Amino acid sequence: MLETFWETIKTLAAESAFANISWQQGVMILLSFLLMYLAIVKKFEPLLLLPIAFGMALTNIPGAELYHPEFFMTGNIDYGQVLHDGGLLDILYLGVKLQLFPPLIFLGIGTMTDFGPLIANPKSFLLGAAAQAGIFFTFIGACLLSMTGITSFTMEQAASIGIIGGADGPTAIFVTSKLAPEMLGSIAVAAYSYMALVPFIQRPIMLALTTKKERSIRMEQLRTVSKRERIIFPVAVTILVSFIVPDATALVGMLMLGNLFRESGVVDRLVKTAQNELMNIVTIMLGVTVGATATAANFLSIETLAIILLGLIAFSIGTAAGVLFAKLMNKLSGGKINPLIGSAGVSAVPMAARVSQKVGAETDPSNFLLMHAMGPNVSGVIGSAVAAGVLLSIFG
Amino acid sequence: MADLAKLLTAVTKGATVPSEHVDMMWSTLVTGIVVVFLILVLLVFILWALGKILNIKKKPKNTPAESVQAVSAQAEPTPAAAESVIEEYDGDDSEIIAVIAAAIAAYGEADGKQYRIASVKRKEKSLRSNWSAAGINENTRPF
Repeated sequence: MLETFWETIKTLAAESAFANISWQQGVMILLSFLLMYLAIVKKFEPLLLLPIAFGMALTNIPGAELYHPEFFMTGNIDYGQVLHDGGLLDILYLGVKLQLFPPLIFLGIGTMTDFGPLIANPKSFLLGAAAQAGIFFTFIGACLLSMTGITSFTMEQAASIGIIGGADGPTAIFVTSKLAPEMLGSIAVAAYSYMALVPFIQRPIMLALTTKKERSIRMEQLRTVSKRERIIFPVAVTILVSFIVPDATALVGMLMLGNLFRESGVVDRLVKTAQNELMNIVTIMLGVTVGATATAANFLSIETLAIILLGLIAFSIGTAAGVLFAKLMNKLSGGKINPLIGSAGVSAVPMAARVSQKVGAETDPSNFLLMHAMGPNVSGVIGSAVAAGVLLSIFG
Repeated sequence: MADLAKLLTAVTKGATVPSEHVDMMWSTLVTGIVVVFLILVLLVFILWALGKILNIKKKPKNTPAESVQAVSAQAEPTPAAAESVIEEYDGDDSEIIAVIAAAIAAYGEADGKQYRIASVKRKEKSLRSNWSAAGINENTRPF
């Protein structure tokens, strides 16, 4: 009996994670602790970063077999194998792989977004477009890095890195899960970390590109938007964007469906479900599974460092492009637009608009830019979804 | 600078990437920016036109004479409407002064002091009405 007990203990010890862990997996687990710290203590986008960090820890535990990247590497996924042999995270990951989760998140975002400031001042759309420059210039940067041999990104991977500049987590996950699933973990971590760091990244760029006089410009009060306009808006945006870029339909369509729920005022129950229970459930599954893709083999590479660097560049270019375009609009309008609202064109709702408000208030505490910045901010969400559609139609 | 030169040479020669990839890279940049701007500019025009059409439809309903009547008939006028009513009113201000005095008395009671009202003057009109400024303050406080 004692011998059997001893054998069992020996088998358990041999099969335990302590005996089988590689140093790379150890580093990944420590890294996940760091991300948990950032989410819990520093409040870095905790709703997503916390499940991502925990998913990262789970996937790197040897022997747990929760996630098998090899199941999803081939062009044709064997769904039978995933369901039969897959672990918990393999099955949940199907929601990412089949591109279900990001559009469902967009549905919830739509129910929570007030497009009123954008409808009242449609010119804000231009700022949302200008800030998307970060996506495409970073794509070029990633391609150039590969050409010099520093990294080995494919065009699809470069496009996925560029989309970090959209400052929109679900959009980045949507594009990457299709174009470069092997990079999903790194790109999601970079995207959400930078979104949390928006105030630190944007402020110096905004101050460097604007004068004190420009920062103190007071903008005209926005007009009242009628209910009819609010209801027509989501329908018009869906039809126009989907007809021109069909690949953006899933994201834009669900965003606008959520917004139509909200503005119609006749489906309160659906609004509550979409912005609470549904969104929370999807957020948990999306976060954990995206974190699970950050296996040691995928994550610990020079490419991840390049992604983190390029992500920062993407955010910075997007911010600068938005501010510079707002300066141009200010000149053309005869000094009616405060250039600080341009930086809000990089989605990151509502953080980027808050930064515009805060930096503006530093110059003139009685200047309220928040509602003016919300226009470009929500326009950035539509702009990044369109940019995602363009990239998917080219490389998808 | 040396790195930049190396980079540019590599790009022009298409060192590790076939030349068609270089073409695709630049065409993606141009296509992406043009399409995003095109769609969002179209949306600017659609929204602008929508706003115009809906506002034109609304205007005939509210002639100036009717709107003054409508405002005075409302039990709880909106801030902007309330302001316009007060501006047109040039009769007895005793009710307004009584309300101000009551508010000051309540304020004084809280900090245990008594105040005497020497005069009540209308403050110079600012860019934004006090109601509007208070509303914005309230809405943006969490930020």
